[in-house]
Amino acid sequence: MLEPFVVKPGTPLRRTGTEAHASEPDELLMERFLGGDGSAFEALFARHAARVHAYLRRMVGPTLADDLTQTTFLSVVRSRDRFLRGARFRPWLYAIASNAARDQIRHARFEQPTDDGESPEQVAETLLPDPPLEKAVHTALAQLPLPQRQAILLHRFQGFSFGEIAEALGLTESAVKVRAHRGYVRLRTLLAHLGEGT
Amino acid sequence: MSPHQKFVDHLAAGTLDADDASHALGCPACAALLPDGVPDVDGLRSSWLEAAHRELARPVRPWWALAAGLAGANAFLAAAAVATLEPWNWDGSRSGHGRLLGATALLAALVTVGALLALAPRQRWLRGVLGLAALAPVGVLLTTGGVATHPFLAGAHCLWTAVSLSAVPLAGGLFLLTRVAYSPLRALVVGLTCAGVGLLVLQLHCDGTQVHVLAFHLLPWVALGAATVLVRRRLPTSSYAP
Repeated sequence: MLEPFVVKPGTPLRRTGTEAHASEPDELLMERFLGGDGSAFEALFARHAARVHAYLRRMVGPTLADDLTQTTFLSVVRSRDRFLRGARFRPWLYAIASNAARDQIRHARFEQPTDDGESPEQVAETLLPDPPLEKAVHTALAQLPLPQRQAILLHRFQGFSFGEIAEALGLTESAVKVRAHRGYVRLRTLLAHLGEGT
Repeated sequence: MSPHQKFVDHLAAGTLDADDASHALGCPACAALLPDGVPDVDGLRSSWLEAAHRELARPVRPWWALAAGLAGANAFLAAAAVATLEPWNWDGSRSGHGRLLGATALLAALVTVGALLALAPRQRWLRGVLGLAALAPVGVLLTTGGVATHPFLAGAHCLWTAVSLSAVPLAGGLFLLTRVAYSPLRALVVGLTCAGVGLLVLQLHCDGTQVHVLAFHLLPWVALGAATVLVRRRLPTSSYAP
């Protein structure tokens, strides 16, 4: 039986591992993780979990984001053999998170509405504890088509370059720029009414 | 132009200035568009890590080993069916042995190497297999001999052969597809490579007319590929890695 990716028994996951790896780049940590070093995964987790959660929170709402963050890191563990050596880690990680969010949104369309007649996505939106104006922005973001929302969230909120987004979403850089531009134009239209009272 | 619109414009262009910054201080809506501070997820961290620990304890079979297993199963099934079924249309081939061999090699590559590469993480390889699959109908049609038989009976027999021989490879392909993120293109290509087993066997055992080959060899092959996309769409995903 092939078991080349089992974490070595001599390298248990320890909190101290994250500190030891603090200055190492993601790709080196991933390389170590592929070699069976469990503490390298923990360092990657410590470095990215909160930001992935923030990204997913804006994609699908806070309730689903908790589960999807866990799903994202479980996918990293399960599919670590699919990480291409020499590739950048962050686009790969966010590709997984984006796929998980997209799948969630897709299934929400198939699933039965809740007792109140709302889809899970709508429920997530109503749970946002934001003040009215902030909620308006979240609602505007939620109204963007998924590809445009992904591009804006990754570019603006996660600080990705267009090249990194292209890598994460499996697109060309120019296609990402078009998506982001259209998204910003649409966002501006959606937020236009905010200016009416000021 | 309202300060909100100006803010969004500058945000999009990456030219936020001091005015925008002071505007964001008094406007929660625009402040919400600025990059996040890292939210506090300490409460969730331990449960996420616990789940990851459990997963880390399990062995991971590399994708290429599983995909190679599928390719091997496809090859074995095709070889067994080719050896077992009658009649064998090598001697009676009207298109020539060269063409028949060429088309057979193309289909054999599709069901073996194609199945392996279609499950690879590299998108480029996936597109390569799609190109190979696009060539398959051309190869098959170039070798049609044109022997008219009982149209319906022969058609039903070929249809049954194509579907039954492809069922097991397709089930295996679908299982492997649930281990990666859903992608219609990947599902289609894996479906076409697995359904190619039936197409390959028919290629060597049926020397029908072009219409027959189109309707009862190629159409079921494409339909099985499309069905793979629809079925995969409904299946749960165990990993979202590309």
